[in-house]
Amino acid sequence: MSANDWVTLGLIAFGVFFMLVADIGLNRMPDLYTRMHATAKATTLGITSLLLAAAVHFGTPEAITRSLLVVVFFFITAPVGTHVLARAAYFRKIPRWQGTVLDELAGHYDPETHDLESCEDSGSAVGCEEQRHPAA
Amino acid sequence: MSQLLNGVLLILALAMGLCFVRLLRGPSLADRVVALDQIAVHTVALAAVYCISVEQVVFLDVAVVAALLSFLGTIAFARYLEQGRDV
Repeated sequence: MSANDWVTLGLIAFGVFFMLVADIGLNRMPDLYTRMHATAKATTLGITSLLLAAAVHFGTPEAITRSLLVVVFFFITAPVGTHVLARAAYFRKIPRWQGTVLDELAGHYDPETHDLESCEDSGSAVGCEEQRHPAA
Repeated sequence: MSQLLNGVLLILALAMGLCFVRLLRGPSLADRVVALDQIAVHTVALAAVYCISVEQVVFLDVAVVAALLSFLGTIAFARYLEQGRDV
């Protein structure tokens, strides 16, 4: 096996490890939000190293371009998709894990229009005072 | 090399099975959407490993298309969830 093969295999092993870890997290985590946190590892570290393995293995411009295209696409869309889904789940009041200690959005979302009020616009909103003057 | 890559494909397929467990168990629709998104990520990963295994660059195109479609699917499901239909 050449050096190229070893690099390829190393990247594949790294990627597959993170895909597996993400799937175990998807099954073991207690609520939706922590599960989404676990799957993000597969989309970033897992997919990236597997596609880089393909790019290293072939080494041709067409393979490298396609691999990098998918990697960049995932890095742009994965946070957007996760945010949109988490936002929808928050409005649907999907139950959180009982050990959750902090909900910074509580009271800041309009349940009808789904608008988020900012602390600059309304000084009276619950929680904004603590944000401006955090307890020492 | 080819034998090793077949093993890797098997591991990825088993990992995809773990996603199906979450897809079936739920408990909410959002959990199922996360599982579906994860299955699409596995499809891209399988395409990447398979193209190395059979020495065909063409299969990277499958990865490109799967990535595009999975994002659209996730956004569509999330919009549907946010509009608050009973599911």
